[in-house]
Amino acid sequence: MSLEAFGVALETLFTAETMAWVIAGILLGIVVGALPGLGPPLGMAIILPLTLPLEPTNAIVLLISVYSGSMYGGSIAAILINTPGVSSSAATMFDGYPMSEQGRAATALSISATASSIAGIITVVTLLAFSPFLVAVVLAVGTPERFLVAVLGLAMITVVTRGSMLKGLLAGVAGLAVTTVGSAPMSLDNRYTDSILLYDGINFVAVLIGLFAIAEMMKLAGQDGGIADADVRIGGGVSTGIRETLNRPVTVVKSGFLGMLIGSIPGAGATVSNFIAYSEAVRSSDDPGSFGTGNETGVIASEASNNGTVAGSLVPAISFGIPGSSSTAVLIGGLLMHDLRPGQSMFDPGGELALTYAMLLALLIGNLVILLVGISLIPRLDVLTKIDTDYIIPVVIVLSFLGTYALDTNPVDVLTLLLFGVVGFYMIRYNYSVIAFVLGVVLGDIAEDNLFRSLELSDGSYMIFVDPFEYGWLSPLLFGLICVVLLGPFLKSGLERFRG
Amino acid sequence: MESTLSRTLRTALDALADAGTVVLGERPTMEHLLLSVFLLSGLYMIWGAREFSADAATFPRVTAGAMVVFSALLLARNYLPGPLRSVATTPVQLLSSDDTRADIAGTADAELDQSASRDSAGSYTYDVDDPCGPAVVAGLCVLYTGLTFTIGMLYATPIFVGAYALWARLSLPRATVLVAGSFGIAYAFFLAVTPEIAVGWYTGWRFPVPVAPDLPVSTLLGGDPA
Repeated sequence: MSLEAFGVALETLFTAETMAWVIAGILLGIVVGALPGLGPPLGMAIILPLTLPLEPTNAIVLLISVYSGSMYGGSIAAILINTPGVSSSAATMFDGYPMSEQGRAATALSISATASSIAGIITVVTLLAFSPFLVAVVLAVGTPERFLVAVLGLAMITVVTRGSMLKGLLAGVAGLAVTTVGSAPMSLDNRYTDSILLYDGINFVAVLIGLFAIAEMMKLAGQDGGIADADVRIGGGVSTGIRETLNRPVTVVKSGFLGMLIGSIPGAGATVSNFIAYSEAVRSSDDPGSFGTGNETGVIASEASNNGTVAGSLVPAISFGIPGSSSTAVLIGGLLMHDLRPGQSMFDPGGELALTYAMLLALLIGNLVILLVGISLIPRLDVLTKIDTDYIIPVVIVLSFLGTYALDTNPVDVLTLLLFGVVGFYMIRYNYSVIAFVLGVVLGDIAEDNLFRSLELSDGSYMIFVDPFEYGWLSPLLFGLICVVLLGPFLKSGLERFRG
Repeated sequence: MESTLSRTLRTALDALADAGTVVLGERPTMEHLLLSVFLLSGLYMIWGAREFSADAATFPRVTAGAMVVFSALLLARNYLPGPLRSVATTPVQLLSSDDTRADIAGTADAELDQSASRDSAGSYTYDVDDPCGPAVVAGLCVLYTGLTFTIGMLYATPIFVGAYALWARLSLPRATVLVAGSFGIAYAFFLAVTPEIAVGWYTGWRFPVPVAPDLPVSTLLGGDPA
């Protein structure tokens, strides 16, 4: 670990202003997470343009705090009104809501805050401990490997989707195609720029806001429910919840690490880890029949895993610019917006390593804030479940439009927002992976840049990606991995058919 | 009593849908329109890449070419041979929350379906209870954009929110609060971030704005005082 960079990170973080952004981000995240229909990507996307006047460190710290806070916030609606505020709290409903019905809502909410906080802290500390190894790996990766890692990320996302692989691939290449508008990275060509307003290309932040805010609001306008009709009574004991969590350290640690591991797989995200951690808790329990009836272990497993995912999803995001989830896609958008490029510079002691450490330390402190805020606000949390969507929808759209226009005061950005809002809505509606599309948009320039440089190195030969004797073993290994990822599911199903 | 015009329109739409069914092998939906947009965009990009230098044309050609191939395959999925059809239509995944859902005993499918996976990379679908809602919101967003280009976003904002409140049938006091609040947000942006929102970008129209208090407003968001 670079102690100098770590010292700078500590110095940067422990200022009144930065700490205020951490706390503000966590509070905002809890609110955004608790409101059914919103969630971390939307909250982060709306805030993105507002971070323009901020110092890069404060902007990134704010975004990551919103992300972390909303992971906890999602459990509030799941426990109180049986609707997950965010999809990554879906499994929390199974036992959280029955606890609420039994008059133990405060216990469930404090379990959620404690498990989220402890798992978040443990996984961030682990990430910090392994950061020297991560730095070594990232710095060892060359130009052709960076291109292949981008392709691998895209390939992985297409097979982690719930739709057909072809739909995922189409979404991914469509995202890549969006980045070809504007100036070519390696030449002076202006591509598809019928207007001077397009010379800088399509603003990816406007694309993100369109996909995560406008599309989501269109969806919300077509859905019933999600708001508590009746008064929610918050009974039970806060201290009981803390005690119950501390009495199950194995579940907390195991679920947190499961979340971290799954979160580090591009595209797997907190929803997947949430269910896996819950089912693992059921599997390893002496009394599996009690799950779904208000078993505290279920809430612990679910909530520990989704906050563990946050640390895990940062690994591919800051190392190679590959988002592990929609939220990290927006976070990468924030990095790029502030002229910070994910990859080697984020791990360079002479570059942005201090910012990377500051980000992780902000997560660490944020998890403590979650614990304090979560526990102290429990008696008042039901307020968040009573906000009508008819107020949320216009306010979010207004903030999206104003924020997008504020990016560059370019009217094309507003049209981009509208276009990708509508396209995003139908992509989601018909099972086209939005995250694959976003990944394409985020990675397009990086992929093209590295492809071009690789071909320059090899005098135009594509063998640079597969020839281990002349160009080293890492590229062919990654190429092989891409083939395995793309063909694996078909080989698996073919093998199953062969076995009968 | 249905007017002649709406009857004619409905007949024309039915005929179009029937023709679409013959061509696509299934009833046309907005998905087919989405795929057509991808297909046409890809073709346009391939055609447009003729004018670029070889270096600048490679990446757009590859991505647009893939876009054309994939969208064409998906449009023609009902006519594809067996293995290719399964690639186009069968959900294939190495890891998904679906895999674990089956393992969780006593969980109702309907309950799980509510947990649309927004924060996983897995794409997700959702049921629309009221198909009118998304269409109205999209329409209002188009109106908002149009007004932004003509009278400027500062005044377009309360009009958009007012129109939404009207559609959502909010009570007058609530609608008033919402409209006033939205104007407050827009005015804060006007003061602190982008004074340009008071001008219609396309028309250049500028309506009078409330007197701006003399505040170093850029500090609101942590920037340097102007």
